[in-house]
Amino acid sequence: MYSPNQKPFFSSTTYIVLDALFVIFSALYLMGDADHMDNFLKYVKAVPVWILVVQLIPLRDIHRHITTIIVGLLFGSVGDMFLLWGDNFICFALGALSFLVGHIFYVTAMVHIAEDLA
Amino acid sequence: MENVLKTYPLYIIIWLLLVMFSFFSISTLNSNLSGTDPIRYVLDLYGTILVLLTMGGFFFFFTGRTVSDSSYWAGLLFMFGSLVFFFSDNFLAHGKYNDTYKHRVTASTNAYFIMITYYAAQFMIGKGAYFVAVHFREA
Repeated sequence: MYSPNQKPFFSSTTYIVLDALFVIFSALYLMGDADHMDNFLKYVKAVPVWILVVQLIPLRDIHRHITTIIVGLLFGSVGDMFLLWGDNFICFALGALSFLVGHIFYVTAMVHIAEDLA
Repeated sequence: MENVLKTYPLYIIIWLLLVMFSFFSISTLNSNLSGTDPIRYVLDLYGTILVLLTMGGFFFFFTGRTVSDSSYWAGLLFMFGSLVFFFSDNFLAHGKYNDTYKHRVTASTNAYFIMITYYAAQFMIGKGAYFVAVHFREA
């Protein structure tokens, strides 16, 4: 699945460790009380997305739209934080807006990369 | 885009199904909101972008699946990632604004649905980008 240890890629072991961390932090967040997230585990909500960003940052020069996907991921994590901060209209709307902008970045990246593939 | 539409009628069928489901989903949500609630506009806009995202994933898969192994994996991951995002955001919206759904699915269970699908979607889109890098590095 993973490419050989060639720059700018990390080593296969690093990807496996980062993916394991992704799963661990996702599980940690899910282990918190999902209904009343008032314990410290809620603060790890965005960490799995940051781990994906760390994996993609060295690859951003290979194709310009990998950066677009990184920006989409970051908007997703900003949306996470807004939804985490409060259960009111403003936080929900700002969270939704962040996810919306993230989705627009994803669509832009997918369509442009697909055009470059064709 | 034109070539994809001509070559893959399945793409049009999937698009129609997604649009139909989105209309159903958003109209169900709107029926639970008052006529002046500003969240209606957020949901309408969000639903439209969500369909575009999902179709972007399918478009990528249909375009790039035969180009290389890496582009095939990237397409598969983008396609399923965006589809899972579609469901994740629907869980979120219905859990918040659909009274019938809230009676059937507890907030706690729905929170798990939302977050498991959300993390899975982000992971697949992130890994899709990784395979894009592998493809263009090899090319």
